[in-house]
Parts: sequence; structure tokens; C-alpha cells
Amino acid sequence: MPCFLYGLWIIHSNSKKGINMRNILKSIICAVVVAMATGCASITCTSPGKLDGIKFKGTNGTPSQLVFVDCTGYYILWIIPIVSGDVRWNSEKKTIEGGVSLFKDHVSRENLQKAITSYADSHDCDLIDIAYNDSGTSYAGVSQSGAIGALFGSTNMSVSAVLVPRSSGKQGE
Amino acid sequence: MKIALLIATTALLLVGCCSYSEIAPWNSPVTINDGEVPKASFVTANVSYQLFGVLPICTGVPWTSGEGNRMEDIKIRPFADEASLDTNLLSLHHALDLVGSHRITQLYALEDDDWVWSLFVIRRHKVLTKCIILEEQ
Repeated sequence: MPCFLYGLWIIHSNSKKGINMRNILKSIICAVVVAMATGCASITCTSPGKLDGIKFKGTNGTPSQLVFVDCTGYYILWIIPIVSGDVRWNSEKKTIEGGVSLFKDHVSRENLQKAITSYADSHDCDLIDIAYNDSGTSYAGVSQSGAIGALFGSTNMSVSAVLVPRSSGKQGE
Repeated sequence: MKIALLIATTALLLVGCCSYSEIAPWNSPVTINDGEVPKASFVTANVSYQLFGVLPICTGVPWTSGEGNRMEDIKIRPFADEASLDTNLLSLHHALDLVGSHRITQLYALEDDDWVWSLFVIRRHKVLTKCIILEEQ
């Protein structure tokens, strides 16, 4: 939603002032901030029944969901955090929540692992096919000379897993 | 607005918006993990683009019909977003029907957002799902 409002603001300001380099630069800076703030953490669960009819090795149970949790942090010189995703387990609502932290680094495997295991446990499920992915991006290509962009970097961590209800039983393979 | 539209049009022309699916038959006696020979490995990926991360520009079409082991298509559906884990699982079901086995292992999902290429105006959202298909038991 902030991105959408930002888009409306760009259209509005450009229609009033006309498009020039200063407006474009302002827009880009705002877009960077907004995009970083809104795209730092995400949690995706497949709809119920999407895994029906598929048998998974290592379990007799019926898998209920494929879950993907993702967290990104942006840094200066890969060390100083600017903004980072904050994946947290909310024990009251029994759900994983994605937030944003300014100048703090919450991107860690421990946080992702705690979130996904707590989510599975609260749904009375075990996990199979758990897989982690870590990657880093440099922004040297963004600026023309590469000098400014090279100051910035981002780290992304994600985890993917399949939930199997405990009540459906396990197979000892 | 004109710049955003220009970038969106350029993205469509240069990058395209395509989905990709492939069933790779194992065709080997080599075993994995605890001595089982897989039937095939499977991967499917779909891409969509959104203006400011919200307004759908276009999307690739998931593989849910047709035969063959490989589908790489530049079919584009404008103003829609079909790149999701749910649609990838539809492609997986189709692949399992073609292979003739519904037993799998190592199911893996990945969602990847890329804003930098468009200077943070357009989000490129890629959803990838892969697994190994085993013999039915």
C-alpha cells in the first residue's frame, strides 16, 4: 500500500511540476526507501488442499501446506544495517509476522528457524523437506560509475518447508 | 508516469515475462540418499511484474496443460499476477500426472523479488518450485 500511495504521489507531483531530473532523483530516492521498507520480510503459505494427492517420501501423512519465509536486510559496506526485515513468531495470534527494523539487523537463520518451527508446532505439524537459501546482492551496477552503489549491499535469507500433521502418522523409512 | 510506462514497456520488450517448467527424466542407475533411484526431477518458475510492487503489469502463464517434458513459453497475461506458490503447485500436479507417479521428495520453494533493474519502480517477482519425483510405491 505505501508503494501504491508513492505511485500516486509521483503522478500527482509530475503532473503539477513537469518531469525534470530533480523530480526523477527524488522519486528514485523515495522509491528506494519505500521498496526497502515494504519488501524486507514475507511469509507465504499455500492454500489448503493444494498438496492433496501427492505422497511425500518419509511420511504416510498428508502434507497440509508448503510454507516459505523470507527476510532481507540492506547494509552500508555490508556491515552497518540500514533497514532489515524482522520475522517474528506471535504466540498470541499463533502466526508469523513480518515487520521492518531501522538500523538494526534481524536477518538471521535463527529467527527464520524459530518462526517456522513455532508455526508448525502451533498447527500440530512436523516439518519435512526443509531447505535454507542465503544470497547477497551488491548495488554497484545501480549508479553510473558504480562508486555510490558499491557502498550498499543486501543479504537475503529464506526457508522453505512442508508441514505434515502429526495426527496423520509417520512412516519409518 | 511517462517514465514508469516507458520502463514497463521496455521491460516487456527486453526481458519478457515467461514461465518455465521442465521434467528431467533420471535415466540413470545412480541412487540418491538411501538407495532409491528417482524417476525424474522437476522445476517450474513463473515471473510477474508489478508497478510500485502493487499494480499488476503482466504475468507468465503456469504450465497446466499439454504434453512433453519441457515448457518454456513467452505467453503473457497483461494486468494479472499468476506467479505464486499455489499456481506452481498446479504445474507440479500436471507434471506428476505426465510422469505417472505422485510420490516426491525434496520439495523446495523460492520467491525472489528484484527491484534494482528498474530503479525501484517495477518489482519483478519470481516464484520457483522444484522437487524430485520418485517411483510410486
